[in-house]
Amino acid sequence: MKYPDSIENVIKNFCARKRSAVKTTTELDNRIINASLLAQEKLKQTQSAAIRPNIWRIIMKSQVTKLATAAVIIVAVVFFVTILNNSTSTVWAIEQSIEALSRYNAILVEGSESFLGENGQLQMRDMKAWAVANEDQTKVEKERHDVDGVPTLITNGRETWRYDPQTNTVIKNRPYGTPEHWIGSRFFEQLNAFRDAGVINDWEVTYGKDPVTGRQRAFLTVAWLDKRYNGPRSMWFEFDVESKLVVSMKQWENSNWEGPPRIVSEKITYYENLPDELFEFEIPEGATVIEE
Amino acid sequence: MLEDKLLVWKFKRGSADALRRIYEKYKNDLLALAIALSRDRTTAEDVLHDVFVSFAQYADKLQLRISLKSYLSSCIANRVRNMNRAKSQRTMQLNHTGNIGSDCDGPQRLAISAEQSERIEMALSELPYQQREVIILHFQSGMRFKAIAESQGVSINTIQSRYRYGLDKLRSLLNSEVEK
Repeated sequence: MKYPDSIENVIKNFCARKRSAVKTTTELDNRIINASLLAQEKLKQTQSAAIRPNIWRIIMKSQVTKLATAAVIIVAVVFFVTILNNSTSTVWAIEQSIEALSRYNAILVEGSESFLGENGQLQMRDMKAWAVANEDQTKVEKERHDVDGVPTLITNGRETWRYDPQTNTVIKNRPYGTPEHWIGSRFFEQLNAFRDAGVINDWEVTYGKDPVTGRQRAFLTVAWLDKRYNGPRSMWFEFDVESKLVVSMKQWENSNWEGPPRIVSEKITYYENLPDELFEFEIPEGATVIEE
Repeated sequence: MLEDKLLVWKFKRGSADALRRIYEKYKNDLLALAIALSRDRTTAEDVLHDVFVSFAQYADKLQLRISLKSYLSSCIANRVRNMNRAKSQRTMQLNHTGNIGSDCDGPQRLAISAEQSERIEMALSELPYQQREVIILHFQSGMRFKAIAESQGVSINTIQSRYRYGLDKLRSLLNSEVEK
């Protein structure tokens, strides 16, 4: 017998033929699927509300990620309120939340954020933030953050620009921090886990109507003190009952919803995607560019 | 690739449908791999069973750094290796003298002579297990050396050496067959 081909080709062809020749049987399929589904079901039943404090800490490390996180939380918590609206008792259906969250891969948050003014007092300034999740919706891949109409941070997943309008300085490629976890449902799970674990000391849902449109609203307030999870912190969400989406939210860096919120999101818009052009940074005229 | 990511995403969140689809998508390739590595269909079916049950059991801990197919292929390889370690010498001997390729009877024999197929199978069986494993994972499952190295916790150089030595030996074995 001769082997005119290279040994690699001989083995490659041999393996390809073997691979195409093997088929499972229906009996084997049933045995494996049934056992696997049983294992999956057991996991669901025994799964504890394990908390991952490091994730929370990482996410809340910088202002930028705080904002991204806030947007993500908004999407996630929508479904909690959705369920509450459909029932007089608190029911949590994670599958519904996951399914609904997967419809949106991008978000625009419009509102204001607080900053320390020259007089040492907290002041508010307008902000807009766009964010796009990665393919499997596990991370924030692209983000643009505008303050008073000026882009102060843009990342497209490969490069990051930060702009300081006061000094007209662009810093390129400073580490973006940790744009981890678009999450959506993951964040929802996390909040729920925090509540189950007793980390969240306040969790309340109330109902009302939008004074302008008369549309049914649900309001969720949550707060926690634990410093391990970047506490103290308190948040307020407003949901449109019909669309199930969050329409506004606020976040405070205390556990009592006191004083000016750190972030106020007055309008939230959901998209399937956003154009790449939005995440391209144009260096302002005369700006000093520093590459890190 | 994107489809796999979505499947994994849903699977990690407890979707039974995602689990079924992952199984349906890769069952034949994985069974073929298990047969190639264990050289016994019954063992291979048990391996496939165990791998999927474990896969479902530890869904919450799943952290994929390689493709889903490579990950499952690694699981198969690891499980076969563990079973081999545990098996008695008698079983190993049976493997070497057993009806090689009996699980692979099928279309390939229409395209390649039974004699040639058997010789390649025999040559493969002559290889040390680690070398055979790398060659099969690479050719049959399409795994890159880096992924194989990561899944086995060894350096990529080690994997490439095993691959190279394995191919050299196969070349030598098959050529000596020709000379005979």
